[in-house]
Amino acid sequence: MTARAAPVRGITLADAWRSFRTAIGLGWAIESNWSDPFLFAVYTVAKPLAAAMILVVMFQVITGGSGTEFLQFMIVGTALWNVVFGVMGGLVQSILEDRERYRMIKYVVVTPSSLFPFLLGRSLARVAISFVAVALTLLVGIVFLGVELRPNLLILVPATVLGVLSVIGLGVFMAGWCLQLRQEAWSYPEAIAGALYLISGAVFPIDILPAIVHPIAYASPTTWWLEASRRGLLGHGSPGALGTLSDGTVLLILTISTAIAVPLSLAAFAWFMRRARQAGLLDMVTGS
Amino acid sequence: MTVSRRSLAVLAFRSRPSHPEFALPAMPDDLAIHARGVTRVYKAKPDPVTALGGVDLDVRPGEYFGLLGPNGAGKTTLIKILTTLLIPTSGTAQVAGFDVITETAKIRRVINMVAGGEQSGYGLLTVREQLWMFSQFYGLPNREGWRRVDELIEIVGLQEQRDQKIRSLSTGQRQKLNFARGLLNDPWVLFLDEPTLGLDVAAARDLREHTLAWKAAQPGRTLLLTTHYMVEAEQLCDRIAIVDRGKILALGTPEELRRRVQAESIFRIELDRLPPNGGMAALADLPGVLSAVCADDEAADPAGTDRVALKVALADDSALTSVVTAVAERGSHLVGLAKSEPSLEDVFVELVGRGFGEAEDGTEAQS
Amino acid sequence: MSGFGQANASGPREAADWSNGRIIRTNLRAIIGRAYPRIIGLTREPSWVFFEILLPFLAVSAFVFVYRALEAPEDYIGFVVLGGAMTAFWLNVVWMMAAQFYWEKDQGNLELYFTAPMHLMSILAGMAIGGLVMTSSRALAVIGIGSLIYAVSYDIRDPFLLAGVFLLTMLPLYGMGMLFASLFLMWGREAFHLAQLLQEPIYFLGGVNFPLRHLGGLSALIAATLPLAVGLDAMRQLAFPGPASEGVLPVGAEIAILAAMAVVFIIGARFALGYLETLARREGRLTLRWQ
Repeated sequence: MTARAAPVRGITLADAWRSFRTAIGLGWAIESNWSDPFLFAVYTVAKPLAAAMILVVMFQVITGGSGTEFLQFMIVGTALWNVVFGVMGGLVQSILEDRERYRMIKYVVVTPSSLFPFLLGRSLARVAISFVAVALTLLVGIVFLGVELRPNLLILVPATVLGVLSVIGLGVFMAGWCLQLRQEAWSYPEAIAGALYLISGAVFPIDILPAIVHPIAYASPTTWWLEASRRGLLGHGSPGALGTLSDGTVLLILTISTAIAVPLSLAAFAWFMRRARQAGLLDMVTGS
Repeated sequence: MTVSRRSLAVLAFRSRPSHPEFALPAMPDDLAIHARGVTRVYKAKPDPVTALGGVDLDVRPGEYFGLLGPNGAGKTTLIKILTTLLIPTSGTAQVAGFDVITETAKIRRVINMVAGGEQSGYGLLTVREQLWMFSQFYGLPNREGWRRVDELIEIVGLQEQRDQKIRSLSTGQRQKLNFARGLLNDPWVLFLDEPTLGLDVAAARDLREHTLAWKAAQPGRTLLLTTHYMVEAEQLCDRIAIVDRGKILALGTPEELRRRVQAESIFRIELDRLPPNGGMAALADLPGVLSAVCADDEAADPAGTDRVALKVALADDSALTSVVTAVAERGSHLVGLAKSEPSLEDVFVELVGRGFGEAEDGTEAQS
Repeated sequence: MSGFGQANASGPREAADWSNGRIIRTNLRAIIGRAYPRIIGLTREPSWVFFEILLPFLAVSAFVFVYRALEAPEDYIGFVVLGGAMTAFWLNVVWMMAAQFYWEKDQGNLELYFTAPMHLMSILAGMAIGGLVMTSSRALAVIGIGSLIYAVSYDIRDPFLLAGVFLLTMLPLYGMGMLFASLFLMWGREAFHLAQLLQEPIYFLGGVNFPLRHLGGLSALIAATLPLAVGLDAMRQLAFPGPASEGVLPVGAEIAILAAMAVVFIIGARFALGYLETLARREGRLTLRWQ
């Protein structure tokens, strides 16, 4: 009578879910490691609001408060941009922290579970905090700055889902890329997010950019996500060329760009991981 | 420093008496390290943790002193207090006659510290540069600093790595670098906190030899070593304090500590045959011999031989000569001779009732 | 036996008896020693060129385009460029100085600094000086490239006064950094988050992208406490004379405030470092990692 082989653990969807769930708890424990909850609350609120207020004051200084349409455009863009920083920064910092500070990544990699659900779960806390920042910024905009939201869920829900997916894809790509780097890896999320902030129409219409940059701007999924989200929240599009497109066109382009970006990012991540294993980068401590 | 010169220094050390007679200084100011009632309590949840529970310690200038104990005994906490990184909750401590709380600046001019398991350092600097940087922190003039760095690199054997970046050093090389850093300012009191932690046998031995060479080259300098490796404590230290749970349990030379467990000297003597005609009783009657019995194990009596092992307890090592002579006079031949000594862990067990390994996980030994 | 050093003193008490001159020389050497890794790192890790030049330029560009979208007067483009250049120094103060003890503790270097005889302010000064090359490059790149690409026109009537105000701004700015560094000794990770908190809110309160007077009554209070705000306000008045750059206070008054701040922050840092070091030693936080 032959003995039944023990089931291989770590490779089923249930195992991936377990790894993801566990990593969420871990990520939250790390993110909320504050001895003073009040300071944590202040930190969560003050940063995004200050970023928004800079733009609000700039707007007030120049226009004296007239032309609220542009103000709404800026508020929505700056609110949603917290997600980009949060997701990208969260994914990259999670993987770098686990390699450099906590030196745990090698132990996760040698388990039968995939690193991917662990990485996603680990960074979810930071992503969740970024959504709090989105909500807060929009709330302040509504209460104090006259922002009028006219939510259209038919556009907003798919825009949010696709947009967050595309940003996660970008973050995953960045996480894999940063694993290959020795110096300045910690600075790359801010660098890339900063570059995207410039070209995605986050706080000013793309038309203002030099014409040579327009193709790059139109190729980025974040551009279409912001545009679709504005239509879903405000009921109208951005000033400029993007605003002339129909809602369906915007959603379609967002879908296509996400459908290209996400698989490419996942494939790139897999390649980066293979390269990291080949080059012995998984337990490298750069001291940076 | 060449190997031969280093060996001479080591030999010079080993030829010194194992019980140097130091006159006890009358005043704490004359001591290299003086601690009275040093306590350290950490605020922790749910209950505060007492890392040190009233430690008294006097270390004389020129003495190499060891703190031996398991993890969590309080050794590192005590070193941190003495190196001015931590303030005791109560009690007083002085290093080189300066108070650790109020005269920290003066203490820092005459001490240095090397800890084991360190990953400190700036990865992009080379070995030379890292050491030079620290020479500046100790105020060495630029040229003097480079000269000293090069000397120390040669002493610790890092010549080939002198221009290598820190981040590419192995653990053993990094610790050699740390040791060199510890000697940069020619300290009067050097603190070594588990310096061979994580090192392989050869690297650990090298480090101990460097320490002994320093002792030979700089008599009058004091060393405080914390370790849980008994060999290290015995090899390097004039006196050892056994520490557990924040208290000093025993203090003395290695020999004195072993005598607490086993006052007599026990030898295992292997003979080609049992001394005939009541030779065993005759051995037992010799002056200085406390008992002589058969060891009664298989190893001493391979099948087909008359070989026998005796376990002889002597009041003093000097009685061994008469035993060996008596054995020869009765026609037996000495095949093997070994001294059976208790280890410092035996001393620890005697004092605490559990071994080092059990002490680390907090379980009590089965009695 | 040579190699292990010479016993120049007869004992530790004599060896510890340093003259004031020796103390000063040691601290000056410590400044140089600590600046060394920062400076040598510039040549060994050249990626900073990308991050310290291109990226700040991108950040500044975003605000330039916002003003362009709002059809703001061209002076405001210059305000943003100048503000962006000054944020380089603020970031240096916060991350390369104030928060640096956090990283040093994490890497195990902090203990070694504390057991050495130099003063902590020397270490911080060394960090500041070492970081100045990178920071200055960043600031110059922002001003140079930004001014060129966005056609910023300056009207500097007294370049020496402008340079003097800039240098004077650095004193309280770095003094503030030293003061913050002492907070890190005590509050470790909390202070790390505080450093992150000190970016956007300070950019807002400091008027980095708009003249400070537009914050209304709040601006006077800020003028009294933030060296970045005061210095930037004065420098804008000197670089872009005109109604748009009207300051909270006249340049002379702001110079006096900066000088007073320099004294307060530097002396305050000296005492804070000493006090908080003792507190950190008492609470055992100096060597506590992952706090």
